[in-house]
Amino acid sequence: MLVEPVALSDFFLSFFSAAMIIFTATLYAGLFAWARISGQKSARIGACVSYASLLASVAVFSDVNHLTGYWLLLSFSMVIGYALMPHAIWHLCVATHLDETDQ
Amino acid sequence: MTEQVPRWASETFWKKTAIWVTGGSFVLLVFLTFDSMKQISAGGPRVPAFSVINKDISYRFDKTKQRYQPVIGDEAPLFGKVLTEAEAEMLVDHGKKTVQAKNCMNCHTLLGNGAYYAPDLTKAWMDQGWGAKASREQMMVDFLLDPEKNARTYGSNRKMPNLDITQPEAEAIVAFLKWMSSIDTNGFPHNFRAIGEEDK
Amino acid sequence: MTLQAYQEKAAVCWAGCKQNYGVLMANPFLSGGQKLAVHYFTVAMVLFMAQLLFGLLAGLQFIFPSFLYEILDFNVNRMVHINAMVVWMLYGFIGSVYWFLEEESGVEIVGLKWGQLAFWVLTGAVTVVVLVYLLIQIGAGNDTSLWLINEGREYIEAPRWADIGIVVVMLTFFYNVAATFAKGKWSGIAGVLTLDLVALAGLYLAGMFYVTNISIDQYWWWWVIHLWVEATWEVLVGCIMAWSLMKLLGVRRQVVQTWLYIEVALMFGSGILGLGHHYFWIGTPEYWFTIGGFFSALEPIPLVAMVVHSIYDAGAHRFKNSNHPALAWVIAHAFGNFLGAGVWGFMHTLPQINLYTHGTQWSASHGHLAFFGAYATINIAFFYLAMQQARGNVWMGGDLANGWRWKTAAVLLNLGVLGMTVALLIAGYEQSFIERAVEGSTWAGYFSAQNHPWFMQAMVWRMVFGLMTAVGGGLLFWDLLTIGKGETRSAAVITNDAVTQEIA
Repeated sequence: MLVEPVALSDFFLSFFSAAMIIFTATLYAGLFAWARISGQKSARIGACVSYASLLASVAVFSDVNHLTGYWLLLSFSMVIGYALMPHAIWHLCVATHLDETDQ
Repeated sequence: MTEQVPRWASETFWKKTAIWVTGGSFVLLVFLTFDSMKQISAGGPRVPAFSVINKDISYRFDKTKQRYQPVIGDEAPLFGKVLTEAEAEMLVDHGKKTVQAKNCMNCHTLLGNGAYYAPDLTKAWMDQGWGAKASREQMMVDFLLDPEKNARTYGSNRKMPNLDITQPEAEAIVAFLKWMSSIDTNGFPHNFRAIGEEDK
Repeated sequence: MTLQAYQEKAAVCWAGCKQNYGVLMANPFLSGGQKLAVHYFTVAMVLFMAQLLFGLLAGLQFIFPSFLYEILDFNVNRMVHINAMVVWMLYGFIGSVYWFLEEESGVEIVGLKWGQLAFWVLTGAVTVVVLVYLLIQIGAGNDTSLWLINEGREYIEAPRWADIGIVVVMLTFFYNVAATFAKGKWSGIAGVLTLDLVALAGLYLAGMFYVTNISIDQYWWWWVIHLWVEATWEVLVGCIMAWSLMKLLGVRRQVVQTWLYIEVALMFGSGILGLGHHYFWIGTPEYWFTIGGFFSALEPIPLVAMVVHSIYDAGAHRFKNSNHPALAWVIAHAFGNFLGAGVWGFMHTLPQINLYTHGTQWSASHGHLAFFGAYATINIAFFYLAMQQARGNVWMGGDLANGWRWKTAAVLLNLGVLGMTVALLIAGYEQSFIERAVEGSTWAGYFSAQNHPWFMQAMVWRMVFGLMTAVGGGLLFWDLLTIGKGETRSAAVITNDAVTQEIA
């Protein structure tokens, strides 16, 4: 079988960790951007804490959803993708707005 | 002014990227569609030919695949009549058209898609609610002809309305449901105990 | 009342409509395309009300199953509920495009007369379809029924004759868009919009044939539903948003268009193959587990990108805004889309859990918040922009006369939909647990889940929040009809220098 379904006792964990992945990823992205804008240390710490929670959520999610074998690629791409994405988008923001700084 | 924008952040770069990503995904989808069509045509590996309604159909846990699978068994002609492939297709086709014209999908789900006001019909053919295999066909037809009198509400008070289904339409619907239950749905629904599988 | 009294009332009502219509057509602040857009917006709002009404009826039937039994059964109410939604969103989109078509292209719409004709044809057809849904409802199991009454395929139930009519009307719309841009100026937005409309119309054809094999039926059915909602509609809204940002906040064209392309790449890149998450259980091969799982896990990426970008923008610019209702609805869009599509979608998208959540109230929960957050909100925002212009570009910022109305409507609608979503989530959780997992999806299992106290209470709460939504909807309609009336302060004018410069 290509997938092993979530165990009955893990239903709540599966839903909750999935929601937490999206929440913490967004919070991390938001705080990361805010830290860049404001230079506030607390925002940077917040971003780190969010990312740590994201890691924990992905770990729980992968465990209860039985992401083994090549499915682990999904877990890894979430961990790496959500970490790098905000950086990439930030660079894009700065670069695409470059020529309006003088306005 | 635009000189300052690096190439990887330029409008043209992203225009090309958007086109390539969209085109690439779409080509891949078309390719996958051709393969899927081959596999889900009636008589293919995943969706049995319509004449499967001449056979007994059940649903069992497959140890090697680690999931539930439809199991095609011995001869068990629907309404006691063995049909040719063409006859079976005509009957199932009539059933499918009736299912659409009566708007079943806006209360029921078929293969899990539809509305959630009434039970899923994916494996309705082999539901234990029909009691025994011997009386099942007649019960299904009776139910479809007069769902109010033969209501199966399980204490919910939710009754199927009378949809003016005729005798031939009712038999065709049963044929359609029997055929649909033989489709390999990758183990959905899980844990379903089919009629006649009580002691297994 | 006597018949005569009714007739008099109707005559007064009709005269009022005619007078209002005359006022609209004489409005000096609107171009021809914008007047046509107001036609579309008006019908969109009427259909929105119909969606709310039939949603309430269907919701009540969960609590009182004998309510309207064999008069307006659940399947009829539910069909009108979801069809009204699809059609009012399309009306909103078409209207929005007509709204900005002339400004974006720099010329008048080439076939405005055809556009007006198409509007009346489409609206007439929609009326006939709904009347047939309500009065005839079902037919015998043959082709005639599918051609004239109802195709019985969720979301695209419209009978075949109406399908063909819809395609003709869409072609007229497409001609107007493409030919107007061709005559005037092409831009990045114009290019994306035109290609997206080709895809949108082309995909509809995938839902226009009958096939006996239900696996093949559902395979193509999802092409229409998914590739509309999770791909082409998103890009269409992206175009509308791109134009609005440029026009209303004075963001530079080049920046807006670059980001439109980025969004297209992200949305189509994840959305097209994300289609796979509908192919887990309909008979299709196992490789869709992997494709559907991976690509739908990518679908939240555009949402995260948007968060970073909007914070960047908020930090880098000081935007002036003189349309608070529109801005509030754009914010509601951001949150609603994030929660409804992102969080609610990802919670049940992998096959490992979807095996149990498929075909339960989970989908209803996700559907309510996602459609509202992604599309209803953005249409409402655009309606407010349109009303502002129609009143002569008046001030719609702080201390607006009768400002309580739009605020109350927004609170009621957002809280109402969120409340329904949470109630349905609880119902769906219970249903996937008891019906799907424990009892293995038998009919007895289905009903024991439906009879469970959690489910029954959830349905009551859904009704409470549904009523809240309906009250909010009514208030919204009233507010849209009256907002800005008698307002004399004019809105801050955004300099369009940057915009026009870029086109040249």
